[in-house]
Amino acid sequence: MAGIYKFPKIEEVVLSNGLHLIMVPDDEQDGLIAIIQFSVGTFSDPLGMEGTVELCTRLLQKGCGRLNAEQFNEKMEYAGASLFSDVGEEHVALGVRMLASKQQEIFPLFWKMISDPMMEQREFTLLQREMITALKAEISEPGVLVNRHFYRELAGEEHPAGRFYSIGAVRKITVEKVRDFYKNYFSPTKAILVVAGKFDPEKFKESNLSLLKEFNNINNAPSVVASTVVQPRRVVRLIDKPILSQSSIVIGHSAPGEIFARKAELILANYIFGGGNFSSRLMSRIRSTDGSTYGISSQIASERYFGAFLIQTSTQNSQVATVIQSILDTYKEFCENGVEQKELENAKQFAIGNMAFQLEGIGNIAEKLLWLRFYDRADSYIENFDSMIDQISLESINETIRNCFFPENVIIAAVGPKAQIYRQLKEFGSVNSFHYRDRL
Amino acid sequence: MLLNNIKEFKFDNGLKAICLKKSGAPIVSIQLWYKTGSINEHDGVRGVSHVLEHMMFRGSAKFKPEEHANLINTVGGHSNAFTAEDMTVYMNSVPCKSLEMVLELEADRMDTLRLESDIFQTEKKVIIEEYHTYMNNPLTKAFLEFRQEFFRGHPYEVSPLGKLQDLQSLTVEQCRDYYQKWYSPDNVVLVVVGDFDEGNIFELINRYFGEKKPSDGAGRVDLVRSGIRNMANRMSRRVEFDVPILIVGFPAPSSSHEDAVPMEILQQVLSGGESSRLHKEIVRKQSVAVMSGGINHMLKFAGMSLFFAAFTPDMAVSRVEKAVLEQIRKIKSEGITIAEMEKIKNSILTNRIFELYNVDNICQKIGYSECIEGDYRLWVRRLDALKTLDGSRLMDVAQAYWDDSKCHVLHLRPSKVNPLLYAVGLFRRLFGKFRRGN
Repeated sequence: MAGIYKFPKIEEVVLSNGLHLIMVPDDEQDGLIAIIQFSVGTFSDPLGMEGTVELCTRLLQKGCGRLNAEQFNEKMEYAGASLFSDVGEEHVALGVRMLASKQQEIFPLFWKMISDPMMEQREFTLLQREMITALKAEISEPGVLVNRHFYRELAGEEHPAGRFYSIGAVRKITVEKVRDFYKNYFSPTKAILVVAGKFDPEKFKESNLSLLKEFNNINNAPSVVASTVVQPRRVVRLIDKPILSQSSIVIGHSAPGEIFARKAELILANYIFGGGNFSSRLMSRIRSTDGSTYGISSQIASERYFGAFLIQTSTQNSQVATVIQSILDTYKEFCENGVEQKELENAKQFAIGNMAFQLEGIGNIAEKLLWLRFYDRADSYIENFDSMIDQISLESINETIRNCFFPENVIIAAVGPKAQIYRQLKEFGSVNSFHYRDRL
Repeated sequence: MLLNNIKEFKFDNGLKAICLKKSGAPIVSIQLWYKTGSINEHDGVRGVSHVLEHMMFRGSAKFKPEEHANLINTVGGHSNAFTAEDMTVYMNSVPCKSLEMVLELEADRMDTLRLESDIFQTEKKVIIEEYHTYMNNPLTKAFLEFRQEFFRGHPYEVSPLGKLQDLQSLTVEQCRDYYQKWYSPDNVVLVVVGDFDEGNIFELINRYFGEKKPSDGAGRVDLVRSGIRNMANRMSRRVEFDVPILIVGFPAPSSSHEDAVPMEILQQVLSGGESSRLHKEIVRKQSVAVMSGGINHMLKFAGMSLFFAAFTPDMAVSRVEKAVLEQIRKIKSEGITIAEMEKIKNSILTNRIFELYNVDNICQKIGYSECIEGDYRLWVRRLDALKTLDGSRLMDVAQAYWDDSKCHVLHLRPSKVNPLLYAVGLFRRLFGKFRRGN
């Protein structure tokens, strides 16, 4: 079965300033996409000024060279181009999508934005205000709250994964700090630029190489790559939000990072337990059989070394204890007995068949390339993907389950009305209570 | 162009199939657009379309409960469904070699659904959980009240989510009755997009759907579907949400109406992106709002043209409302610029190009245009319609729909405002003004 999936032909070059350029010509449609990814993310936020990376990424998109934010936006949007960004824990990506016919006009403008941003005080103030408003809106979301509490419990406030931006932290950030941060961290060294779509690589290089080389921020500060953590005991957190008729629940513990040698086994195991939608054990029991929730899933959220395993669901307040107990029972059974051959075969078939969707269109291809290069995966990863999956045995997946999943030492976090769920949560251990407005 | 390759066929039993071959990734998207949704519900069974959508995954003559989703997952694909006011849509995406399996699955549940009582009761519990998930979001809850008022007296008044009381009392017989009334080959559009063999696609579809019996139409009563009340309305709600929000809504044309394209352009000029008028004026220049936006929610028989602004607690809502309406009035009296028109054309063209990279997107666009607008070609032709539009036509449309006497306003007020924050905000605003003045 090997060799079904192939990337389109790509061309790569590392420029003198360290920038890694990947070109993916693809004539399927008249679109072009450019994405640059930097090796810095929210884990590198200065202590007490969480939100700096987010603000920096947004401020980059507010004017460059001699164009102020309004002029810059008009030039981009009037040409039909749109910007996008993704701020992760250990990476930041900024991209633009455009009509291929507008590339001569839009790509240099995008690059100016990356290499010579204006970073004006007025734009910074507007963004800071917007970010504070968004934060206020976020605490109304039980899903966001319960996740934050889970990570705080898992990693602690000293670890980058346990720190979040707050209104106070965002207010402490100044435009000067953001400018310094940009100069120190948004460097071409270790950055990856993918250009994909309808274009001629030779002409692109001819027009843009000298421009790309002009970007020369020097990487002064090493980005933070978070270490893994250990979850030593069971902990229960209750976040009181009286108005809710339904509680949001997260159960989980630490997990290996992205570079874990048995990552593929881990993903297949998670698919069988809770990642595989209606095919998963969790969905089958808690939703399809019991009807106790609209949605339940598990995931492995991982950075290079740090990782977490999370089970997420919501249910009406009156049945919180019943649902948690069902989840824990299902999880214990999974950890103790592992998976069956038939389940493993189904999970393998899903993984292999699904790769075709992950390579559909230039956007997906660009993202996949960034992931491969960021984690130093070999070029052959995609083409050998199905044979790699095929080789996973029942013994190796069950051994991975025994080593990476722990049914006893879990964190249980729930957002709901304390008056209704406190006693229920007590069945699972001593409860640490918080109010939903408490600062993290 | 890719879209010129769309092929269609209407079978004797009324089933319409629309297919588009697209090479590239070896995948195929198969969607069934049933022409029924919450618009065909009445009091007592509000939410039945959505309940049936869930039950469609709970077993048919040849397949066990959840086997549909499981079989599709096993080949690496995904399946899902959604219920709207005018349609209920089933979506499947699979590697191309599994196309036939999906046709068999979909054909089987079209007329042999099991609808077993015990599973029905379990699934109702799931749907009530879903209902609470939406209602726990204060914005969603307030917006559903707003739309109820907006469409009062029209079948769109109740959202596809239904009413909790009706969901609780709904019986399996009521659900079966609805299924038998609306699920038949003559009331569905089947769309296939992706990498398949063009030579035998209609033969393949015929193999699984050709023998299905059309409905006799019994019980399909046409409800009153035109004319929303169109009276101005003002609502204010205290919500457990810390950001004050203003929503302004006007009646909009139905999605197939000739005014739909101009309406979309006008909406984009006002709220599309950072170079839009609302963002430039009320967020950046006047600083009365922190964020702004808008959307046209155009349905089969009527629509809403909506604008929103999020602002700080120290800002008077009347000032925000005045600023939003001022921008709307300006377009009504002065129209839009040539540069703005060019921007919208480029933006729509870019969106179209990027839609075409994804088979699910293409499938959805074709299904929507055929099922709701009456002809899939409208999706293709919409770009051409842009070329012939002029400024005066846009002004006419703006004046016709953005009528102050039909304006609906919703103000969401945070239930808790910290007086200290209010004072600090006011001070900051005054100080900011003072500083800018120097």
